[in-house]
Order: sequence, then C-alpha cells, then structure tokens
Amino acid sequence: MAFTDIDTADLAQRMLSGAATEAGEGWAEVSAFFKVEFRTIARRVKDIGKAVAGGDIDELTAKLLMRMQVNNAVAAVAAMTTMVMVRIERIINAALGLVRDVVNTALGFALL
Amino acid sequence: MAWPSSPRPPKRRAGGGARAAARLLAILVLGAGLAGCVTVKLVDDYDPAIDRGLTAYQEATLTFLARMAAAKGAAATYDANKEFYFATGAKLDGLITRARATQSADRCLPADYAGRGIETFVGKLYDLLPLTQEMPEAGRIFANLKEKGSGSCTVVVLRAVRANHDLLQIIHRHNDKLASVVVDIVTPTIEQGVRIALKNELAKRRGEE
Repeated sequence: MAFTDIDTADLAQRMLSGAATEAGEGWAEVSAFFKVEFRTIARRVKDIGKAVAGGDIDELTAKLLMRMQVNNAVAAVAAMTTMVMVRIERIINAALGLVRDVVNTALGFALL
Repeated sequence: MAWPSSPRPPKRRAGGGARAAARLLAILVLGAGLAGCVTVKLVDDYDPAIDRGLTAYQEATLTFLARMAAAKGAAATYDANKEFYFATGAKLDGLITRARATQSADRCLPADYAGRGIETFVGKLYDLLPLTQEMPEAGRIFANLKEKGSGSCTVVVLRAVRANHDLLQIIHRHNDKLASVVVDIVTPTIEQGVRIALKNELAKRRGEE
C-alpha cells in the first residue's frame, strides 16, 4: 500500500468512532461525579439554613460555612476538568497511534 | 463545434460538512503524526505524595473535629488548639507548592469561570460583602482563590482545600469553640473537599484504572 493510498475518510471515521466511545464512557463518569458532589453541596446548604433558622449558629458562621460550600463547588469543577482533559488526551493519543499504524503500514517500515 | 456545457456542480450530500471536517481532522492529525508528535500530554502526572498528603490531612482534621465536638471547657477553645491549624495548614501549603512545581498549565479556565459564576449567584442570594468587611482575612481568602493565573486544576483543587481549612480556623476563632452542630456541617464539608482533591489526583493515573 502506498502512502498516497491512505484513505483519510476511513481514518477519520475510525478516529471519530474511537473518540465517541471514549467520550461516552468519560461523560458517564464525569456526570456521575457531578451529581454526587453537587447533591452533597445542596444538602450542606440546607443544613446551614436549618442551623441558622434554629438559632444554633450566627449569621457570620453561616456565611463562612456557605463559603466553604462554594469552594467545594469550584473544586468539583476543577476536578471534572481534569477528568475530561485526561479523556481528551487519550482520544488524541489514540488517534495519533492510529495514524502511526496507518502510515507505517502504508510505507512498509516504521517511519513513526 | 459546440462548446461543452459547464458541468453542474455535484449535489451536496447530507452531512457533507461533518465529513469534510472529519477528513480535515484526519489530515491534521496525520500531519502531527508525521511531525513526530506521537503522544500528547494535557494534564500533569499523578503524584503519590499529593495522594498521601491529602489522606493524612483528612485523617488529622477529622480526628481533630471529633475531639473538638467532645471537648469541654478550656480544652475546646481556639487558643488551646490553634497550633493544629498552623501545623496542618503548612502541610497543605507544601502540597500546593509541589503541585505548582509540576503543573502543565497555569490556569484552570472552567474553574475560574465557575468560581466567578457561582460567586455571582451566591452573592445575589446571600450578601457576602459585609462578611469581607467584618473579616478582612476571609476576604483575602476569597480573592486568592479567584485570582487570575491561579494555577492548574490540581492547584485550584488544593487551594480550595486550604481555603476551607482557613475558614474552619476563622469559624473556631469567631466562636471560640466548635459546637457539635458546626462540626456536623464542617466534617462532611472537609471530607468532600479532600475527596474531590483525591478524585482529581486519581484521575491522572492513566491506564491504571
């Protein structure tokens, strides 16, 4: 097979299929993480509200506790970003690996 | 001899734009492959020291909180226990420094925007401005967490843990003691922050799932 015979449409389709699979699995993981963490934050916010309403904590303490929930929400977004970026990295590297295999096969020797 | 008529342009097939984009992507990736870019790294590596450091912090803090909930009299006051905050806070600073030293990017854009968005939303519901006036150091903690160039996503996550540690210290100082109702809220909050940070670290263990 010559280098000029590389079917870029077929290569693209294979890369897209791989990416879709990886993205699907990755999204399920990120989505599950998101639900757990933001539900937890919502429960804490409710607890803070109840404690204020019950006179168990003053307003300043309530605000400081609320701020802690905000910090956790920002951290959750950052962690989700890491999870997504690792998946993207895998997709790109899988695609590059596919390119390497196709090119080396086309040339008959390991160029890449 | 009649000139041949111009051929009609071929009809566009549905999805032709997506196929063209996919073909262009393939060509670009092919080019990148030929350029020798056979692996890409978008995220820093898993660091077992950060993993261990976070686990140790969680253990120390949850033990401390349980002790505070049960403590009575002078043993429960902030003054009697402030050394805990300084010592464990310094260890968290060590983890942040380590993460900064190995970060592959100096911003975590989604977290930057999320931070601003969440604060705007919470700020509308719950006026945080008087808080920063009453407690300037709390204001400094908020500003630090959302400053530009705040670091990679790992750094942001660790700084959030540190910020919550500082807020816990302020709560203890303000109330002088940590009542059980506060411990009941703070304990799962701290646990969650550490869990998120650990999840962030473990997500970087490529191929070790």
